[in-house]
Amino acid sequence: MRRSVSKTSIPALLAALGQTPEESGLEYERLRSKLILFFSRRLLQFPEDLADEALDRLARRIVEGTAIASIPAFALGIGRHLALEQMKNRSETKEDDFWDNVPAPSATQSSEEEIARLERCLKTLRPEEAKLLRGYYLETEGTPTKTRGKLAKRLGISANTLRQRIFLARQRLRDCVTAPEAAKR
Amino acid sequence: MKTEPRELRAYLLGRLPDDVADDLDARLFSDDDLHRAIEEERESLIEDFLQGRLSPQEDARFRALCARSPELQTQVNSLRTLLAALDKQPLQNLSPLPYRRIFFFVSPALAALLLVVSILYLREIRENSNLHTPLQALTGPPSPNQSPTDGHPIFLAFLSADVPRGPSALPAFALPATGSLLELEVEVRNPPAGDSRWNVNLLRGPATVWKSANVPLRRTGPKAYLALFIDRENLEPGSYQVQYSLSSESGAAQKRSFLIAQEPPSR
Repeated sequence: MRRSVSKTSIPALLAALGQTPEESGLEYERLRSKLILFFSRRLLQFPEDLADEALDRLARRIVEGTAIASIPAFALGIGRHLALEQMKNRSETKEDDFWDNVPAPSATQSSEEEIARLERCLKTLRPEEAKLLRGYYLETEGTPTKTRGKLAKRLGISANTLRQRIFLARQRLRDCVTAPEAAKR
Repeated sequence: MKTEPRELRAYLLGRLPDDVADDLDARLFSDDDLHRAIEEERESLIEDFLQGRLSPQEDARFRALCARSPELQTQVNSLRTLLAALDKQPLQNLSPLPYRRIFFFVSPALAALLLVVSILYLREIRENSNLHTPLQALTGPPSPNQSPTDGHPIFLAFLSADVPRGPSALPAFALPATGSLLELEVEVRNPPAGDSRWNVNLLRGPATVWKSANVPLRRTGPKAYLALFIDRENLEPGSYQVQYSLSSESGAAQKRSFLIAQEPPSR
């Protein structure tokens, strides 16, 4: 569950991150994402919560008036302290035992309703977009890199452009799936 | 400075030497291109996991990451659902421009014949396409009751809504010594109609020992359940309480208590 940054320090943090609300919001999410990757690669529990804790500490330092030359670098420093705290707490579990009981998957099957909703949303995409998604994810001619390279070449676009189109198509699907009307159908 | 995908994947899985990983950490916070590359590699990692393309060691590491990160679980589930939905779409190949040009110049009679054959072929594909495609097999659990690393089974338990309350009558589950994962099916009373997602916390005393966000509600006939996969290391013998509430609302959580006991290992 996401723990939010304390309300009194949010405006100060956002103001420090960008000139406009859009810029601040993007920077905030980018910084949060970096912190999540930072904590996640150390296999710490709930990296999202740790990222929020790090941002909370960063925000409080800004409110306190600490001079910060580079917010990302400062956030990294806070992350390192927080990671050390967490790993100290974890040190009771011997490092060897940590991998002996690797947790089994928490994977769940997608429900039929989830799949059906996504199918309905796939129909709202332009036909070429839907076909592009299928070609990107389901066509297999060797490795994914090779397959997608061929797909991009066939379409006359670069691999980067192909990835961007896939990203946008998935974004549209996500918006459709989470829209209230989609849930009611 | 471009970083190889293999190194980025090793970073994500926590398999780089400390000094190399620390260097990448520093670069991650100063280089947005590297950040983007790592996120793309994570997307690729999720896809390889779902398609069964990871080595056993990578698979185990990725599952460990998933078990610790609700947001990563959500991303995995999201792509799994997309792949399942795409697999059910009718087969329509992307027609590259040169092929369209060739088709345009074929004689009308041959064109009509090709059209009829194509329609018959597509109809055959649709009739034969079902949920038991190789993709469905790959996106399902690789081995329903086996861990990929040690072969220990999943232990299944149900928390029914009909279980009487009171500390003297709490349901108790004996976790076998060989069980490495508990699949706890918690019945939800009076769930909202349609799909819903739930935030779940598992407490031992005041401490949260496990949690997950946006767990989808499953329905079996008139009953509705939340399926929780909890690894053994979070289940010392004792008294537990599972609290669950709708992700979309901030109302009171439903609660259910149970006991964990441990069987002695069988000889």
